Amino acid sequence: VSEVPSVEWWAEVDRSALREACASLCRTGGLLVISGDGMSGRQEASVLARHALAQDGRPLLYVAAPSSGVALTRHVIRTLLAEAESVRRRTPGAIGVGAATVGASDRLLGDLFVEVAQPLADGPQGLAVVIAGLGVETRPHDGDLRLLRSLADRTGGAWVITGSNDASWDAAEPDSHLTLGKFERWEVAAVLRLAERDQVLTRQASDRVMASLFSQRQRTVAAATAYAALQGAKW
Amino acid sequence: MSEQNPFSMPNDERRPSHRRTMQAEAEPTVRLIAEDTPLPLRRLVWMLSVCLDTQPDSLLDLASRVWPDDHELVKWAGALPTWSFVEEAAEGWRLVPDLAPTVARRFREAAPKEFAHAHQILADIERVQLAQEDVPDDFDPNAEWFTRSRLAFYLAATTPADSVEEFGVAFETAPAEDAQTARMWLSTLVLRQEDLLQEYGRVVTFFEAFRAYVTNRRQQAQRLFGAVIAEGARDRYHAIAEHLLGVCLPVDERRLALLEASVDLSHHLGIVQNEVMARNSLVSTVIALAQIRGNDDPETQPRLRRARELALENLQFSREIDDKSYLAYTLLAYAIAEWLTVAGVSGARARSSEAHAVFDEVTANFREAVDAADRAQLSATALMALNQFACAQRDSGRYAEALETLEEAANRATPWSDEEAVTRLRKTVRSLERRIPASLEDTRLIVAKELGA
Repeated sequence: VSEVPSVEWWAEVDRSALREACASLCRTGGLLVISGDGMSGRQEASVLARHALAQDGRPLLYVAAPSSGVALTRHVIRTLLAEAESVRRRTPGAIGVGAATVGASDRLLGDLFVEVAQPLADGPQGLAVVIAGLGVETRPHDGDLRLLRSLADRTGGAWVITGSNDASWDAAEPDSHLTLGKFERWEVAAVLRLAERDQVLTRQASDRVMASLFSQRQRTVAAATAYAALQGAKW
Repeated sequence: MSEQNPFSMPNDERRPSHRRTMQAEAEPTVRLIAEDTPLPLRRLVWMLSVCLDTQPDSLLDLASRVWPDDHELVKWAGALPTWSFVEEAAEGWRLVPDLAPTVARRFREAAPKEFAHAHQILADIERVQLAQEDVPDDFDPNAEWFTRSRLAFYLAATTPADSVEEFGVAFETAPAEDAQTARMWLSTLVLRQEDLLQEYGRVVTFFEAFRAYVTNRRQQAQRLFGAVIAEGARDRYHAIAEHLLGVCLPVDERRLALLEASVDLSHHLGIVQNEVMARNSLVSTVIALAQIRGNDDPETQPRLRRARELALENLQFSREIDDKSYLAYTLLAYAIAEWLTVAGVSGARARSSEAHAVFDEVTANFREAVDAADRAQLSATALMALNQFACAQRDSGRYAEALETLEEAANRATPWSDEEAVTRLRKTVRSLERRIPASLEDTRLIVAKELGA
């Protein structure tokens, strides 16, 4: 089980645009949105973005969005506060956010914004933030997205949001927006060649995967289906 | 549904095409899981497909309770979170929503007893959680509502009648600070259990209608709410459908009739939230009708008086049920109705001695509405109340005071404030142009800039 192909291994061929966008974000700061449907490999995209930003050596805050979408912004901000506090403990003096502020349920968003934005901006090298799985079950409010944009601006860090392609991402005014598409036949074939090269799969297993995924006329496949087939081949 | 029902429709037609497409898209992956996956791993995926979310350790525990003789489960549990269709959310891991219903259906077909047992266990977990939530949680005051909704979801497999009842209660009692989002989430739970709720197609139709209503597919919403009402069940769903169908319709007598019916039925059934909100919609409809017909219509003044009476009744009712959100909504409706009754539509009598005499009271009403909205953390309602107050001040010639009120609103507005409220504020600021003395124009421009006008 531990030998299943890693995200990085897939990334060699199928998510290069995402890695390039993250690298660019590390240089310039700003907000990158990566969206796709449930079968598009959003989870891999979130992990990949996390890896790419962590490699830059910045303090990284990772927030998984709540399924329900209710009080989304408050959840995200509270989690950011808690995460920032955790970073502060690891790096004393770097980010001065009081843990006591987390959990105050009667604060208005504006107070929370003021409370979180400046301490985050005062971080030593600018923060990297990944908010994963936004708007999967319910669409985020435009106001929530504008607030996240404001936070990204205020902190000057590298922010990545991954989420559903049903949301109105324009409200976040992303500096760039990547859409996770399906895999082309050649992309899957390239991954399988790598698997053979690394002796993760035999040629026969690799052929079986291709045959299970693509009929003669089929050119594309959903990422989740491709991942499932590849992992299935291991068993 | 009866054949005579003009709103009746087959299930396939009720299910939107995008859901059919999504399920077709998921099918190859579901087939791979069914055919190429070792049985213990398949069981774990099945288990995950019926959970709304879970931690990997909990998933293993749940699966072990359903299949106590499968000692291989532990070996495969670690593999699950690495799969592309398993996503991390704040609450735990979940199968992507595009896939979960189709996998769950396969689970049900392949192992119906275990499928029911799994739901039974999950429902019991939520019941235990509910018992622990007797003490309100400051951090998450809506925890109980979410737990009840989740319980409704799990009950669909074992006691669907209880499930639809719980879903109805949850719809009505959704957290006021973001009721629409909460209800949209709730509707995803219902639609995910659509197969299990086939006997209650009307309830599924109701939630479909609500989604259409929220996403501004008004014609579809009207048709679906109409189908719910046409069955004549005169229950909670009927009452709410009358309210929401009413607000989908143009401002006319039919809309009024539906809202009145919704208020009456809600009162009869004791559904207080819908009664308050339907009556509030009735107040705004009566006012809108008066505004459309204008001051020359002999019915306009009686309509405004009726709006005021309804608003007052609603306000008193809100005070009785002691709900701070509903109090904020009804205070605002009352403040507006009270002012229009003396000022007339478009502020035609706003400078009359009668209007002048009651202005202190009007000011107190709007201020109370703003305070109530603040207490309920309804920032959009607070901005709306300030805007309406500024309009009243403007119409009565209190331009400097109107600007002060708009300035107060501008200070509250943030880039993430409710867009509709801010748009209305901008419009009010613009409406002061050329009406105010030159000495106030600079202030107006500053406020306009702050509001992005």
